[in-house]
Amino acid sequence: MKRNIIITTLLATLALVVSEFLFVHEHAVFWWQKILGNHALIGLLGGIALMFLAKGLGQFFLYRKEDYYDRHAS
Amino acid sequence: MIAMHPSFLFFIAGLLVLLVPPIARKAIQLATPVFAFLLLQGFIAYADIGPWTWSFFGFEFSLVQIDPLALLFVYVFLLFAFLSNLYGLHATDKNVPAASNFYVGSSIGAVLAGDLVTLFIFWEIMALSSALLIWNRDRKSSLGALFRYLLVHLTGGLFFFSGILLKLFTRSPIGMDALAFDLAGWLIFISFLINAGIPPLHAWLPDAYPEGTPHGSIYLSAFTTKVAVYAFARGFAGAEILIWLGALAAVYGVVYALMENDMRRLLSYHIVCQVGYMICGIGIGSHLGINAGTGHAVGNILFKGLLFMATGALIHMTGKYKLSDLGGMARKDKWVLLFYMIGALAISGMPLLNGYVTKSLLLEAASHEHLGWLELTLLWVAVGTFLSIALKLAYFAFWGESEGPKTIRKVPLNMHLAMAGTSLVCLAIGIFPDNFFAFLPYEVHAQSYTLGHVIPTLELLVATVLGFLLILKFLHTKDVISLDTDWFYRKGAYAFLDGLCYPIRRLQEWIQVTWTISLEKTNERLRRSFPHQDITAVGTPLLWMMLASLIVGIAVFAAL
Repeated sequence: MKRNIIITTLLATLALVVSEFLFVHEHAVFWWQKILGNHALIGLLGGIALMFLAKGLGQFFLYRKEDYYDRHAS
Repeated sequence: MIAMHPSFLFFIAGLLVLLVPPIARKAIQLATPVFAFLLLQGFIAYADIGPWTWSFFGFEFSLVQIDPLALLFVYVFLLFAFLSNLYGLHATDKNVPAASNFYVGSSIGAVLAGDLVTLFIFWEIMALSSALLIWNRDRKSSLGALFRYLLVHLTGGLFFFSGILLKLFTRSPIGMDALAFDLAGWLIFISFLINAGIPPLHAWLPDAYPEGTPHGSIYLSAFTTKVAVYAFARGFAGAEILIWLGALAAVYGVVYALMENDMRRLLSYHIVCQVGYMICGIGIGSHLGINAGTGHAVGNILFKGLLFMATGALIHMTGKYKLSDLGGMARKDKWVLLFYMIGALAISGMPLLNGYVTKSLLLEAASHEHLGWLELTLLWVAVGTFLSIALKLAYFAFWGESEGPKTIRKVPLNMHLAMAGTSLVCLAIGIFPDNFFAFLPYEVHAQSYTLGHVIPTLELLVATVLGFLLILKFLHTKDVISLDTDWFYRKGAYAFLDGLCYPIRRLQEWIQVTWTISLEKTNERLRRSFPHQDITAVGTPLLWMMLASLIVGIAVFAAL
């Protein structure tokens, strides 16, 4: 079930990248806009990077127990 | 037609709802925004001739300034006030209707204000009335958050007031347009930053906004930060520092949102993030940038309000605030799921919804100014927005791992209607962007729906879903909170005071020790002088009496 959803999403992404190649001929202003499917890359890699960044920050630095502020400073 | 300031209508309504029976209260709640809208039309017509000035200590102040920028905000405030009033129509509580009328009224007054002093007065009424909305009987922690909120906003108000005083005493103009970065300008700038919730001055926002009642928090989500955005657009458009601060806020907000477990705190961090977008647009300062910033503010009031309404409905149904306590809500109320997803897709910039339209404007503005890093950053943040609101929150609340609560309260019709209305406005702006562009402060020549825009946007969103699915097994909700800059006044202040008191504590210890030693020495000497008598019992009181008479002596001497 979950496998199917992943495959469908992957195919949809690929289809969109192909259609970008076929239909979009806009002048690239910045270097990264010249890469085909740059938005898809930002979505995939940027999303995963953000998740791990947030998880890492939380695990190693920022997470506290919920009653953290209720306990008085000693 | 009577020419009356629309704010005062809201103030009157705010007092009336406290006095009248429930049925009349409902009528007032629905009628006030409508009447205020009509009043505004007359007001626009008469604004030029009316004596809209007031004087104080020989200074002349102007109450009203009407232009497209101000009107855009007033219109969306009125529309949103109507929808939120509708949302809370079933409630028996009087606190929220009264406070919210004052809050909406003062926000409108602030936007229409003709100079900084008038703005400041409405600004402070906003702070006080919004603080009342944080109070929530069901959440013990809300009272502490309320006091911290007041503390931060009164401090911000002091900055604002100092800036104004400096301007008044140096006889500088107190108009709101194009403020300079002198000392007074900086003071005012900081107070705007506080109200806009820009890191590191943002912590009051995710601290306070999740505490209110489901109904009260909806008002909170809309007004304070957007009035600050408006004030930036008036006073500091084109200030380059705003681009950097905006980008910082956008990234900061989205990273914190991903860590969050409390639904409305997650959404609050997205207010920080989205205000970052708006501030970027205003910092860019071109007509396109200001249109994008203010347009996004309007969009954000609507879709963020909708998200707060939908999560409020979940809280109403279950009494639970945290993702880790929820799950399987999709089976309980399909409509709430639908409205939530409309808000979530709108904020993520899905084509056919309003977020897409205003985000495209902003990306175009950045591109025009050759700010490639900004465009890339904003796209990255959009990925995080979609990830945390449309995927993470939705997944854990509506489907998720846990079973979710068994007993469910029904969502009343008026809540459904308010959410439906807000969704329709989001859709209408998304489908007919040109009609919306007509309200923006400057003329817009933008084509929202070209293949070159739509296909990459869809790529971004679909690829994000793919990424989310791939790492879903690493994601869990946990009963934790995340430290933020409010640590400095919630914990750090203790440590600071502790450090400050350290010398005093040492001095006290030293006095105690020296005093005890000298007492013992005196006792010892007395004992040696009178070896056959038990003198200890006499020595100590004797010394105390000597000290007391010394103090009395000094006091008498000083009095003479």
